[in-house]
Amino acid sequence: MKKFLSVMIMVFAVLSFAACNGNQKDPIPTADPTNFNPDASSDAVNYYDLRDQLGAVPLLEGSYTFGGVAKAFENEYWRTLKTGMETGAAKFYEGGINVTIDMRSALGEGDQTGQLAIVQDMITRNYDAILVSPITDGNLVPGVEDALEAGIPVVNVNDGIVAIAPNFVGPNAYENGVLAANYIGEQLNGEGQVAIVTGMSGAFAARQRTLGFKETIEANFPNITVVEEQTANWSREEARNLANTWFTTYDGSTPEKTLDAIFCNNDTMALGVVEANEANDNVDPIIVGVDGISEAYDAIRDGKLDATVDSFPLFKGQIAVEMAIRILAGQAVPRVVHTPQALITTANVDQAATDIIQWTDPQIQTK
Amino acid sequence: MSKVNQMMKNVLKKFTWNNIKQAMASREGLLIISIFIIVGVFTIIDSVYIMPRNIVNILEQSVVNGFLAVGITFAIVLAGIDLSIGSIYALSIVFVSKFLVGGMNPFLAIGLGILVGAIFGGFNGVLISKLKLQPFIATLGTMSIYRGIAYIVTNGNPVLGIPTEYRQILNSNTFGSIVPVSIFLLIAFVIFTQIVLKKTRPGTYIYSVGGNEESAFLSGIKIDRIKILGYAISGIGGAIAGMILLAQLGTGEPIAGSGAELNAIAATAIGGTSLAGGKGSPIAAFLGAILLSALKVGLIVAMVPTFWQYVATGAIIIVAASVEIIQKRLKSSTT
Amino acid sequence: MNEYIEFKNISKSFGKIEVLHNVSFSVKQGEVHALLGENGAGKSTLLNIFHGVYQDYSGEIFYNHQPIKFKSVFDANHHGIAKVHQEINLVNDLTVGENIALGQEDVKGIFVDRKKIDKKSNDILDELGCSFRSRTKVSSLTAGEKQMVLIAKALYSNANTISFDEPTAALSNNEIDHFFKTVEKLKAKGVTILYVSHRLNEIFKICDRVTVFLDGSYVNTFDAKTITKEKLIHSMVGRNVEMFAQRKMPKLYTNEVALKVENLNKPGIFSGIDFEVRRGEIFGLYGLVGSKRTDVVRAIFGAEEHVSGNIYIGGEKVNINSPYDAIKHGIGLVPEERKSQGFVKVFNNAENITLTDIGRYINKFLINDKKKNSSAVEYIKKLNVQPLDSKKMTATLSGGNQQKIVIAKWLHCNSEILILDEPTKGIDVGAKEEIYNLLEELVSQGKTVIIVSSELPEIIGLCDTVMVMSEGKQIKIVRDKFINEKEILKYALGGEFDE
Repeated sequence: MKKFLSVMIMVFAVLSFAACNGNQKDPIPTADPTNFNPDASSDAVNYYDLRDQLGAVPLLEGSYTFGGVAKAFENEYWRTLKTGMETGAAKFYEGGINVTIDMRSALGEGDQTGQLAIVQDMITRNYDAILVSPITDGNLVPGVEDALEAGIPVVNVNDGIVAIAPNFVGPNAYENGVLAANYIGEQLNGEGQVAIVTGMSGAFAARQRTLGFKETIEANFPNITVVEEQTANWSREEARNLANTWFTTYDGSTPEKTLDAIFCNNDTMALGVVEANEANDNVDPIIVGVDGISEAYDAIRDGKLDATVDSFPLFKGQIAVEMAIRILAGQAVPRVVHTPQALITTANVDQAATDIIQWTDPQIQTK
Repeated sequence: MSKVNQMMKNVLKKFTWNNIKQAMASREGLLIISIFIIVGVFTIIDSVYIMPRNIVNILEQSVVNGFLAVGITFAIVLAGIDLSIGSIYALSIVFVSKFLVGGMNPFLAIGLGILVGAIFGGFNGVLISKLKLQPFIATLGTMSIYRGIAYIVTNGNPVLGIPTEYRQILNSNTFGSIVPVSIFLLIAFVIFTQIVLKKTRPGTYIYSVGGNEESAFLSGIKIDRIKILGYAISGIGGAIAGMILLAQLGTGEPIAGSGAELNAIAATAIGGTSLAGGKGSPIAAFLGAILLSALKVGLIVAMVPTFWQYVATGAIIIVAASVEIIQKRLKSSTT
Repeated sequence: MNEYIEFKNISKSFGKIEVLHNVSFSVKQGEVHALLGENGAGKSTLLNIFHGVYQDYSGEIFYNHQPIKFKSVFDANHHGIAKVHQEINLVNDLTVGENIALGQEDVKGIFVDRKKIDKKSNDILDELGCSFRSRTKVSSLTAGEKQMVLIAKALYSNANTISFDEPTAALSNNEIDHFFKTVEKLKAKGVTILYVSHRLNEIFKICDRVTVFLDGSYVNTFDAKTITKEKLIHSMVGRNVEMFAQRKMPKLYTNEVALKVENLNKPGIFSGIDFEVRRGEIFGLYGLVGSKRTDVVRAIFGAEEHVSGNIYIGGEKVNINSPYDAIKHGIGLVPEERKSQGFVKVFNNAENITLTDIGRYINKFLINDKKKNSSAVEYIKKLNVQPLDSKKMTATLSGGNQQKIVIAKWLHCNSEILILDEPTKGIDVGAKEEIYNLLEELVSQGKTVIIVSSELPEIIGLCDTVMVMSEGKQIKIVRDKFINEKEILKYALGGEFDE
């Protein structure tokens, strides 16, 4: 038995060595063409700029069916995106383009193969365009490959990021962090201690939002320090537990033990932190989330949450559909189209979204 | 076309009630009949269902879950469970990705991947046999530990740049590109494990330990070794599943396979393996995996609303579990 | 005469086997009444009938002149009849008070009235002289203290009759003293006590009367204050000759020592076990409940841990750390619990028979099922297993046929030394006879057989030599013509009164 154990330990050591070794010899190349970062893409355009550039939406002849694949309808964000895409399709239909959309989602964010099966089904049905928001960066890769092979345009909406997809439509995740950092920096007058609750390790949005936040703080507010950075895996409960732990450490007794702001990678986690904060009397941090879900709006109205960075999935969905139509019409749509986003605070929480991002429905060509 | 019709007629002739009844008395027969029913029903609902792409899709999904289900069958036959199998799956993905990106020969990488599964699976066996931990608890612990190692090795990031050479080995299609090669690997694995369980000494011992550990012990069987072996095979199933997914996706993600253990348990349960141990076979687990994939893809094709798919999947598991009782009645009515 | 509990013509069978035969006797109010007999004499079955565990018996029971028949132990409890048996487990994670009140909690509205429970429990614990309190966790108590909790539980429900089954088996000497005092107190309160024990000293010390059972029948009731040990033992023996197993070929043993056990110890369980078994001998190991005979044979077979001492096979010292080692040295064990230890219930006969030596049928890694089955069929025929079917699931056979399969397993792997622990437990007469014949045939072939049994007729009828154990100690080795009921029972009942 001892023999077996020692052999196992040895083999394990060799394996980890081999794994690390591979890493050293060839570290994951950031310049790898397959490692695509839409935030840093040179071929990126802002939606409004693009609209000015391309003009009215071409009036497509014939009838079109689009397939939309969201992560999981359990989450309000994806249900809103669904509504957005369906709204978009309906508007273009009214405008004379015969387009319908079939929106589906996987069975929860763990159902990676199920989501792939949906894409495969849409390819089988010969849909005219597929709009995907993959659960991970990798799980829809074979489906996207097959779709492209079958000549079906694929638009990558929001995240995860499919490197091989020809087009990406979504918010600049890095910019999410920048907006939050500038807000917090101004509120704190450039001084204080902040913490970050990050999303699932390795997730694109989590990485970029955190990076944008940290780099902005560093560049614009040298007297603000990031004292904590921990993951809560997009979960409200984990975020609440994490904040509770922080509130015992940072009890406000000394300047080193205060917490002036908490930036959360999404609203769900921010709401968890809000819950923890309700029971905490020692420090009064500014809490900022990302996504702009309706519960976050309510919390801002109630004064429990200070701000959220809304990327307006309702309009993002419409933009994605518009891009698919433009692609089908043969227009040159850049690799990355960044959708509008805005910081929501008590100042603008009751303002109409259309006002905040100055939205007008796109023009459609007439015959 | 008339030839096909003739063939169909001949096949149909064999479906007399007695033959069907006989087939239904065995678990495997019942599973095959159920798969045909599911395929039939969904084809009627929407003929898109039996188009080649969907068949490939069903088979590809079955392959990944099939390897997991066959693996976990060993743990379940031993009257245990392997909750860590989804994490071992992720470990093999990240280790093999790292090996490949480091420039290793794909076949060597596959060999080492199998070893990864055997080691981490075997470690479960050590915890369960030597430390006498309950399998549920031990593998609940390693489920988290192994997942953590997968994150640590990759720093949470996906490993990109998997060579196409590797992907072609495990992920190409044959027969007019509607049958994935990996299904043959799975069939080979099923046959191999079926022979190991039914026809070799270790297999006999695995059934005896699962069926009655005390009696097996008093028969001079080295329980610890058998358990370590069983869990190592479970780990190997998980590792091969991971390597095939890696070939399918082309990206090595440490997050892959979270929740996969439940799908594997579901396939095994549909296959009729009793969680009480001592019973079950790789063939049944394999058929269970196909049935589950056929159903899941069917629900997607039939455009069943997402939330209802949960209900349907759960219902099938419960129906499958109650089949044993119906079978007993059939058995007594045929004899 | 105050006939408080009256048993009238009680008979009870399990399947074909009658375990109680027309038993009638009575117990007086407030006395401590001992029930004495060998294992399987029927005492425990009678108590189980009394407490409502079994309802399918014939005869009548009168309790305080009322005919009674309880539906369950709880039903009996409600009528003031409590059972304090080892097998009744306390809930370890609850407190003493919660256990005492379990099922009969005092309530205040919808809430359990813990104060009241604690008060009542503590009063009872004080009365019993216990130092622990109602709020103490049961998991922290010793075996003796747990027994006190069970007694307290009985008093909490105002029991006026309590039965004890081997109450002192798990207790230390101090705890036994305390227990005796408690019994005195209960008696002083007017509680009637039924007391099952093998320890004659205890019976003489605390019991008023003693009723003796033999093979399911009532023998007699004596006054414990006047009867002598000698007479008591005498009343426990005296079976008819035809009740004993018969050897057709006695004394087949040679002078060659097949197995020698030297100073075998397992701390806290058994100690100083020293004996030799000769080739061709049928060696018996006899002892009553708590004598640890099963532990001894399991230790020889390598199935128990932390055992010290030496084992010699054929004169050579061997190291046995697991059943695997024992089997390699030619030892086989037919375990006591057939269903949970003897065979694999998901296996058929062929699979069970060949399990210990499946390697024989392996040809290039694969098992040759044909050979395996045909070989199994040979053994099934030889032992006359009914039905003659190697593919039949062993679990579906009758007890006797199952036992034949378990024995066949060891014949199949050619065990030279076969140990059988209670080989005929729960087996009908016909199968018993077949097994006896088989054992004789084995020794005639030069094999060695060790039988652990609590059935005296079996031990006396079959064995060339008998080792008697009591409470983990080897009391005496009895040979050939000295083997008789009285002699063996005397040692088994403690043996402290050698002359």
